[in-house]
Amino acid sequence: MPEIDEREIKRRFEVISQYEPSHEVVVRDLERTRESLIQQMSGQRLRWQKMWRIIMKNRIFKVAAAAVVIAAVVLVLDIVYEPDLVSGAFADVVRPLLAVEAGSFKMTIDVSIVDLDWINYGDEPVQTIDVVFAGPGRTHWDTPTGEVLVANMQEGKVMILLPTKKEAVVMQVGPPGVIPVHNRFNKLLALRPLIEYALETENESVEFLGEREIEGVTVIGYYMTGPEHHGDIAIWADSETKLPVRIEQSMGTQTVVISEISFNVELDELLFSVQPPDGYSAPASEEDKEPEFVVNGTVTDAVTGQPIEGAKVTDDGYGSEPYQGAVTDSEGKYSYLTWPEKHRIKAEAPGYKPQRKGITGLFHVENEDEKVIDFALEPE
Amino acid sequence: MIERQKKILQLLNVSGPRLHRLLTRLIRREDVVGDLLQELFIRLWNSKTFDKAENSFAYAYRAAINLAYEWRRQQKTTSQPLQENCPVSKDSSSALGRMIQAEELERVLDATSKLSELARDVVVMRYIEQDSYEEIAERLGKKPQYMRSVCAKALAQLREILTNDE
Repeated sequence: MPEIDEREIKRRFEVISQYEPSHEVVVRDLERTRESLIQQMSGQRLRWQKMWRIIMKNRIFKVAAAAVVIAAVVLVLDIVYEPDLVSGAFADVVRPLLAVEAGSFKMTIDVSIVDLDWINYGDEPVQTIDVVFAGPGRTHWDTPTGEVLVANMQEGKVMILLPTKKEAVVMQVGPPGVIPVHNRFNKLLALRPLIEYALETENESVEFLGEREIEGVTVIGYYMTGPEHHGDIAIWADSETKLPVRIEQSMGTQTVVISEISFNVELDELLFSVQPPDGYSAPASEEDKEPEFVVNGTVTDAVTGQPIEGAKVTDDGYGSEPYQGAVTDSEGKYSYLTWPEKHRIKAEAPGYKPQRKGITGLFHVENEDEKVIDFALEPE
Repeated sequence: MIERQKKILQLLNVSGPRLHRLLTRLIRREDVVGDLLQELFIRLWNSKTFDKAENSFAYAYRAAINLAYEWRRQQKTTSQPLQENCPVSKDSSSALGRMIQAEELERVLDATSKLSELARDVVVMRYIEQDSYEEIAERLGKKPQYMRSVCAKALAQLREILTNDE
């Protein structure tokens, strides 16, 4: 039996103590922790989920939310750019985008060819939304059909106005004054990490596109190749003022165009009010609607193929307990109702390893009303 | 309630990196440390005793150590081999060397879990986080000499545990 002396023990501890996690991992994990904490605090994650349910019922909101989500990537860079300190021709063009605090733009989404499996656009080919924003936490959307979405994170609230029904849905989605790291509603600000990435890797990822005319204005363009899976972006700026006038982001077959950009304009504070206007009322229990999406399937033994009776199948959703779920019958079948949203479903039975499968894609299940998920559990 | 939210978010901002590093060192799995950090802060948020703690960082620090060892205990039951997510040694250049070293580090961490909670926390603070006895004493509300004595006894105990194990 070898003797371990104290010096050896201290040596081992010292090796452990030398380990420093990478900066990227720390930043990523802190951001995730912050976000989940904020969701918990605001009573909680379920509220965001309920709000998404409401957004997903409205096609144009759904498409617009998807467009922002595509841009709202989490990139971790060592360098935090001070807009005034970056230099160079490309930097001159993107500087206003890094510095802008309030403004407006139009967001046009062309989804005529659909091949992204996680999003179901329906048949709307092009949509344009007017966006006004003030700071990272306050955004106002106007749709061509009159729907309005106001996100005011300074109050921690999101309001959706549905003029045809004269309904206003106001939800407290976070504590007042806490701005989420991930920008859920402002496409322009959500592009910042990609721009910072381009500045960081300018030699490899930025290409000058030359000059062209857009609506009678001579513009110069730069093409930014984003990191994998984050899409490519073309930024066109007025050749004289260097202010961006048009941004095109393509990802897969989806194109999002930001145009008619105004920088640091004075805005009416009422645009960001989350008080429902006169004549609007809250929908009857919309957010607390009973689940009506069917999840069903069979649970079998992965080795024998025999059905497992009494297996518990539950979804972990995003909310608090009790979770939706069911127990399998003698044929290994189960069926239960839940909400049409992204969540994982877990099957477990005594003597077997639990298995999880996901309804992935926040936007995918909205137009379906049933999902079949079969499980084959491995014996322990 | 708002004050409480601010307090815990501030703790995350100020001490989050340190707690993250502590968890990473104790579990030696960079791929799961994010989940544990989230779990830690959710627990703090839901904890009533956290509100009463005079030093919220000290409370979180010990909660992190507890959580890491809880995770290690759970891992024991599934016997997950050590991954190479964390570089372990400067002189363990060969694959075999790295494996041996990783095993050694796991053993010393496992042995630490067999100490009393106080001794375990003191050893982690002293030898893994390399805090001074004064800092440890302040955090735990004890005297530095006592911490020194706990540490010395814990080392002797670890020697015995490891000698019997290896």
